[in-house]
Amino acid sequence: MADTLIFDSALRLLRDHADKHAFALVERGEWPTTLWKALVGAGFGDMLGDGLEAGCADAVQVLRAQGQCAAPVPLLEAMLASALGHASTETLPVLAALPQRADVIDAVVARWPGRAQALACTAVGTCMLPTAAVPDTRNYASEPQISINTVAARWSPLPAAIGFDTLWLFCALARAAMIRGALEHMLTLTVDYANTRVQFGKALAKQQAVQHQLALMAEEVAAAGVAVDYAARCFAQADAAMRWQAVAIAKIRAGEAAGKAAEIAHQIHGAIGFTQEYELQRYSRRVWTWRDEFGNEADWAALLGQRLTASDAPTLWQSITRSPTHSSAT
Amino acid sequence: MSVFQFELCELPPEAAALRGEVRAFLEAEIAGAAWDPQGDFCSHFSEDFSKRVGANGWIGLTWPTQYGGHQRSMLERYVVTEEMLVAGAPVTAHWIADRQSGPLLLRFGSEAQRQRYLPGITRGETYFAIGMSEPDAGSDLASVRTRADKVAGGWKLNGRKVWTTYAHRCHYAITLARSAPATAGLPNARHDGLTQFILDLHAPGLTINPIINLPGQHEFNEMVLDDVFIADEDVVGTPGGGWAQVTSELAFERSGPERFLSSFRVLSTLVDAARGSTDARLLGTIGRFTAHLATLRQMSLSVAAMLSRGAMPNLEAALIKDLGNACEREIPEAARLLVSALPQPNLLLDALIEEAVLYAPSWTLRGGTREILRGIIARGLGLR
Repeated sequence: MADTLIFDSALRLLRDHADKHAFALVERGEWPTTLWKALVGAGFGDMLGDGLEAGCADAVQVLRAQGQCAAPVPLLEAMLASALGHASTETLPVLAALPQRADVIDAVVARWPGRAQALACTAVGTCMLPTAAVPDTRNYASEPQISINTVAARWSPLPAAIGFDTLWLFCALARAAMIRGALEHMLTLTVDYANTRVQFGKALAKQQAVQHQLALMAEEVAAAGVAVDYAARCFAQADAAMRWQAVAIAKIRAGEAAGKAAEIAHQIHGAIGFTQEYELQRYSRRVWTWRDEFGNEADWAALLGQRLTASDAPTLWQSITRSPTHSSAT
Repeated sequence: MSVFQFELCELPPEAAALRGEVRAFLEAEIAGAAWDPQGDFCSHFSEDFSKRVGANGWIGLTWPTQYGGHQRSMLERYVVTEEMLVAGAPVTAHWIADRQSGPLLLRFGSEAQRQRYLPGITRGETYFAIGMSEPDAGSDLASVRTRADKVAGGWKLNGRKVWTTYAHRCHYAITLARSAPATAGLPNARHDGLTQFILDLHAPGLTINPIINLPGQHEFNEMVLDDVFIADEDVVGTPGGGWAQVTSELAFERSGPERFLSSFRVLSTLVDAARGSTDARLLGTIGRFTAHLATLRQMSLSVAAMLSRGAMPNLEAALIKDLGNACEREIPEAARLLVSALPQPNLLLDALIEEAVLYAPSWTLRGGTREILRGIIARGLGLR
């Protein structure tokens, strides 16, 4: 129940502030000040203050709500920086900058360079980076970012309670949760559109070919949701191996769902979905970004396959049936 | 959009204990070479095995004790069924009675029917088949033409049923027949006037003819009913109310682990054969299908928990079956392309792939075709 409360309040706040104006700013590469102030003011940047495990359940709900609104803010990065002792303020965002892969230590990706403080974070430790003024790339959703070489960085060790592996894992879970939220909204949008749009004298929704595509989309959305819920539970409760496996599964499943569901959503929307004006693109461009970040489906699948086939690994069935809360299978 | 409810289910500790017992039993059976592991719940009928399972108390696990059941939870039953499937146990003889026919009698049957049929099912001695499909009534089940005409003390049935799995070795088939003509004009007219009967598969007037399936096995049958008499006491529930009863079985029929584990042994054998490999394509495929199956299992457990609370999540069940069938069909297709990437040839894997490829077309047909399932999901989405 607590989960629902935090989800609902985050959703309300985000719906109010992630508006046309905020999206227009971000498209121009400008920082969405009002949206950011509202989120930080409500405490959503500090949700991991009691540790990643303790804050996980609530944080995942907020990130899901962010996905449902496609809210164009680096909320995860702020949550992490805050958990590492560098909380943002309403005027100065501090954003964790992580490497593209967990094992990389000489380069990180900083979001919103020039607008936010970047707290580099790798397996070696953390380090506050000098502000880089010019973004060199933008993600699919036009959000600015820059890759920064950290070879010369003077690292401080990570807090004892936060291992880099756990941090990285949480990032993957967070992106899966954001994808899940976005897909839920994309399904609503697409069903509504199919019910409203009339061609050949009837609503698209009355065409069996369209119905079946939407059924497939609903299946993907449902699977992503269950995979994320299960990973969030394991992240909070299970041992390291189980937690890793559940997050890997969630990132694989949600990442795959993102591609399939976005494809169907666009096909059913037709040309209007391919415009800047209509809101579908806010979601599809973000799920295409999020599925690639912190390990794409193929990266995680290869790692999961490696663990499952290790010479000392249990049987596949034992790995699948292990319980997050009991020591043996249930 | 939250039309579909999949709340996570946590298995209770007693389910873990039961899983241990079932695993130990199955390991002993395999060690004693009691049977060859099979790919599928439909393909290996063993009276002896079913009796041993019954003796362990694992058939009718959730049913009341007065009918031979064990009054345990739906989640414990789930654990038993998934362990049986993964081990490739020859469960065909008791499968339908345990999953569908028994629960149907518990829900709609008379007290006399429950006392007469259920104890034998729980002992693994009484087996049921499903008499639904006909030559002209497949997905469109309401168009069944087998007729039931009222006679003194019972009904006379005439017609043809097809695809009746193991009718030649089961004792009874819950058979759907039209007992009153469809009344034109009313919105659900086609669904009225259908009745479920307990058909004795040794009744006079019934002929059972084999239909050999694609892999060359005799699992299907045709049943020809020629003035077969069925007594009034073998009508299930309300005469004419069969449609509602049939549709109430669907969540049980469609949400279980047999809807995504049909090719599990292909994947688990691939995992064993891939140990020590560094082939990225091989490892990635294993990881991907494991992610799919583990997620399907959580979805399916969630529905089992809903069923145990008395809910009828037909929509969620349809979704699991369509998604699960797609995954179980994809596994052998992917595995066959990875055989050459394995460190060593694996004859068991080759055989399992061959079996799965041959049986796979049936998976997306039985228990509700893909097309029917997607129609149900579309209705749930508010599209029709």
